[in-house]
Amino acid sequence: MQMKEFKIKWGMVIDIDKCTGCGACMVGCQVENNIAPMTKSDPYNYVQALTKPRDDASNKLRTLTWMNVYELSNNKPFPEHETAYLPRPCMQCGNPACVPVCPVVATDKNEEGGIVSQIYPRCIGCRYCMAACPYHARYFNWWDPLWPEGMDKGLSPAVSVRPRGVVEKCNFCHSRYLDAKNKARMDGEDPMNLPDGAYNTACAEICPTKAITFGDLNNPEHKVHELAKSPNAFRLLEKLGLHPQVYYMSEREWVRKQGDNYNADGGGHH
Amino acid sequence: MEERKASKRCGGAFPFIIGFLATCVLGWAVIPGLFFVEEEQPIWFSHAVHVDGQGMDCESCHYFRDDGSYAGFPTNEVCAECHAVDPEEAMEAIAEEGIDPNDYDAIMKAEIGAIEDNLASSDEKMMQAEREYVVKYLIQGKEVPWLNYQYQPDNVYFSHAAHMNLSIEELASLKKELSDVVDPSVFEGEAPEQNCNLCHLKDIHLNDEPPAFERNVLSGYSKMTMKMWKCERCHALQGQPNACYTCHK
Amino acid sequence: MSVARRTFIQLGAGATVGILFTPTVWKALDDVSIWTQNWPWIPKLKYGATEAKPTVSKMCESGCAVKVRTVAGEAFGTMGNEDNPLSGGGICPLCANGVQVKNSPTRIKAPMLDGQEISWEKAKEVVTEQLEAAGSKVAFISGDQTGTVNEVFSALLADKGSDAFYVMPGDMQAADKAWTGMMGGTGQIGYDLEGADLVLLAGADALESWGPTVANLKSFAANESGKFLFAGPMQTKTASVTSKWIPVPAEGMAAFTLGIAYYVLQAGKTVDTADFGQFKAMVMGDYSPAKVEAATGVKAERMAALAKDLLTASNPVVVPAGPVAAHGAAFALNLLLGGAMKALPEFGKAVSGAMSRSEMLKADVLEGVNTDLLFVYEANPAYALPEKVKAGFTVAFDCIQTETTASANLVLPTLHPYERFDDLASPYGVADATYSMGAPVCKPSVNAACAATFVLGLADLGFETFEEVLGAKAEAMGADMDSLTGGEAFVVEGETPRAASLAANVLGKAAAPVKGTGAVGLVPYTLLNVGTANRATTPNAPCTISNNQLMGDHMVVMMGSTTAKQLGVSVGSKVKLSGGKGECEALVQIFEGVMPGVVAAPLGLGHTVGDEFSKGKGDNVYKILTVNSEAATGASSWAGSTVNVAKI
Repeated sequence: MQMKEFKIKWGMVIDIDKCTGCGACMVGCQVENNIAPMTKSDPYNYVQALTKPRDDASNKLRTLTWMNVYELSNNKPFPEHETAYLPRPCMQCGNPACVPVCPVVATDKNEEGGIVSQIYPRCIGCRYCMAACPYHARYFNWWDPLWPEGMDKGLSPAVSVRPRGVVEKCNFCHSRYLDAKNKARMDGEDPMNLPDGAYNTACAEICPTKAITFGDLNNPEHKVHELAKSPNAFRLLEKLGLHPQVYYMSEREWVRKQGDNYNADGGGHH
Repeated sequence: MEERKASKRCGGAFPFIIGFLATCVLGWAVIPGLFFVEEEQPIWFSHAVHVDGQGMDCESCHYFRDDGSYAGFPTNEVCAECHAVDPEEAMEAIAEEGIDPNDYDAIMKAEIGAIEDNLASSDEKMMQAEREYVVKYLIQGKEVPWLNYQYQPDNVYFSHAAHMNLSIEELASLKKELSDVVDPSVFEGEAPEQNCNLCHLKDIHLNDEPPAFERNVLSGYSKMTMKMWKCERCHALQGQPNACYTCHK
Repeated sequence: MSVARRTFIQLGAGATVGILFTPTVWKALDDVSIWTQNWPWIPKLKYGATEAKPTVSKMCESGCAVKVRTVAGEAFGTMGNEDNPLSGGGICPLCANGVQVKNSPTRIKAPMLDGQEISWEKAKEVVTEQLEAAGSKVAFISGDQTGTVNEVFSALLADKGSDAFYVMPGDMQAADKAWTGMMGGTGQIGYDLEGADLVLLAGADALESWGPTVANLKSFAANESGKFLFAGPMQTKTASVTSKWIPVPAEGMAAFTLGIAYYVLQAGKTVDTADFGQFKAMVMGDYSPAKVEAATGVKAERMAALAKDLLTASNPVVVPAGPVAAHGAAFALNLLLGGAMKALPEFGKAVSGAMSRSEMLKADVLEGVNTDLLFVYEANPAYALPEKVKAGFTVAFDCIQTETTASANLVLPTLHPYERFDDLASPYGVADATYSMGAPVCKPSVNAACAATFVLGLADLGFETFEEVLGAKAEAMGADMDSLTGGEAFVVEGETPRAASLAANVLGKAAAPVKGTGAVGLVPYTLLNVGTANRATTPNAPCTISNNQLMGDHMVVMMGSTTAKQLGVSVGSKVKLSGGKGECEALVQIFEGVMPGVVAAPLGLGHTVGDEFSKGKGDNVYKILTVNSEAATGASSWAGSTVNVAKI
């Protein structure tokens, strides 16, 4: 697939030297996107004895963590050991691997801004896109969302609730982009030229150290524009040629080196 | 030779044609109607009484908020500006009379002073509708579950702000291309200032009895729910993007 | 013509073909496909005006200033409050899930007496009876470190002739004991993490679980040029972003700090106190680099290098954690360096008869509590202080079911932080005296009430409701209540700290490392997403808990490869840790960020009461902590806990 260029390119620069791995971005993302907690017991399953029990959050192959924080290690013994934390949203690749493989075009990169869309009612759940994504950024709803009694009365209006059988992924809080455009129209400003900060993702907003910076990589007035060009900036798995729109920054060389998977054993990736 | 005689015996192609025509007629005229079931709005609300009668303008209840979102159905807060029944006072009075706060019929029959004194209507039919609204919803702290003719499911993001600058006058030139999307009658006569008629019930502000809400028995959507192709058609004609995320969430 | 079978079939065929030329089948298919996208058990969203309402959150002990996002009046999420210095726009994972906790089915729905639901009137009767019977043998354990609710609670105690006010153990208490108790200082110690150019976190897990975590993280991020160093027995999450990790055993932190002070004293630094001479002699004699190296294992060159960095810095600060001695040593070092340590003035009291903050921090709950009538407010001593707290009758105030509410006689549901008036005054660690207030932003969905208002009704304390108390508090400090409830903070600058004494004698004795008798040291650590002593993990957080803390239902403990070889275990080995009065089961993980001879275990697991996300996961490490009494300071601490590890 040819790489599509847009005038606006929404992207992130994540400063790994500021991320303490607290997990607020992960929890905030789940709340913003109506991801139900992993409830194991299903009070409505009257044939529980015959069916497999639902998974709880310890099964990391079933959790829906659109934003996922990984722990990195320099793999040195005590006392030279160092750790780092790497938050990984969807990379919104410039040349995505997931888009051309979808048999029903439930995912596409066709909107100004470059956010790779995922349309839930169109998805048939074949999971080909999950196989294609090298960042493991896509998640499958193995179960219907099940909130504990009463917890689903307060849901975010920004994102529809997905049934089981559908693939989902981070979309840079796309509803907030549409909301920001509405506000710009209301204020008589150009919705296609939003100022820095008018549109911000939930994870970037919630991060206590502001390790995540979000903005238009093509717009010199946005902070990410300069940050992405910093000498300490790198992207994950650059050699695959997917042109991810999420950059990482670290002053530590061992962290930067782990970005490109040229170590034979994958390098300290937990 | 045998076959020919045999088919002649059963009437030839005739039964086929009868069957074909019968289902064509049924399928076009009768069955589509069966897909829908009519529902009434929870309360009789008359735009005519409020707009023409009380001299209210559209923006009193339907307006853009500061953040660009659109307030479509007014909340109790808005209605209570004129239908000023104090819920606490009313509930106290109901308790005093010894009536169950959930027994709406009994409350309405009891003609509670706190409610009756604050009804704004003039004739009996209107007062009864107002009474129902106050008793069943306002004092209960519940919002009225209005049936949305233009219902869209949760996965659709519609922005009124993005469409607020469309002008019926300007679109009239595309009347023919838009004939599947917008009823041509919308473009007849003098173009109104607001463009609501493009998608919503024509001249609703003059309406006295809201039309029945037709619910599709299979999908649960409204008959008037605009399907995706209609949005795409107009977007394409207006040079607007048809990217998935333009309208989905 | 006869209507034969063929006619019938022809009719049928015609009908079939005919129906395909009508919209029927196609519309039906389309509608059915839409029906499959709208299963009735998938919740539908509510729409309306969206707002972000400011309030104060007490999900963690320090509290934070947040904004609750609502749609059509219903809360759905939490975000930070950019205008408030305690948040700066960010929040921690606990607050991020605040609304979900508020809507949890484990909310206590009504007052319960011995498991039976009763009315609030009856509850008041019961408590009044108990108060009369108990006389002055009443005690209060408060889990809220910063709220004016504590003034109401301590005033009630004073009214009954009791001073048994306890806080859950923590650094705020140890700091106060060291500063106002040992060193005769005034005010609450604060650390200017944003303005300092060199910060040595001597055990303080400031960027994960110490003090007002979010404010610390904000200061850390805003401090572009400052250098942060972390000293401690294990590489906590704080250490993942500091410039260096200096391995120091927990019980050796005070000695290590004095070891650095040795070099600083050598460079000629002084403090203007009467006992400075004594202090200098003590450090130079008992805490020389050789002696400290022998006692703690930290190399002399290390301490010399740190001292050099601290001396060259223009605004350095040392942030302690753990026992009182460690705090005393750090305060002394900060006074010598004259850097970014501050003393915060206390805000005016609202309730006469209430204790001052220092007075509230005097009693040592680790020594045990034994009383007739015990009130517990949003704390979980049955979980975090197992077998330490005994009472004839326990009244537990909490929002969510916990081990403490399950074992209490009378359980009174509190309003969730987003449903109530609350405030927070100077969380321990902030550089300036900071006050924030919050008004309710949601209507309660259960029959809960404001705990402070309930307590106000038990005695004549001069107020009817807690809202009135907050009004008085705002007035006492000269702040505007409207701007406070609108999310703004009231800030009074911190002052230069002045001590009366360096407590040379006491400090000298107390700083000596004391370790338990077990085979390996135990380093308990707290992660906010796993839970604190008062608050278990929240519904959406379990997927953020890594395999280094929890594998399935088993707790994971971390140790270095040398320690593992010593103990004869490897990755995945099932072990039993015995210490204190109990034992825990865990799986082993090899993590090179743990000192040799030490095993790191996560606190916050092993709940037996709660929702399905926290119950039955892992084991409770509080059971195996040993309480050491610092002989010289008279305070208790968990530092120096050891355990025996046996393979199962």
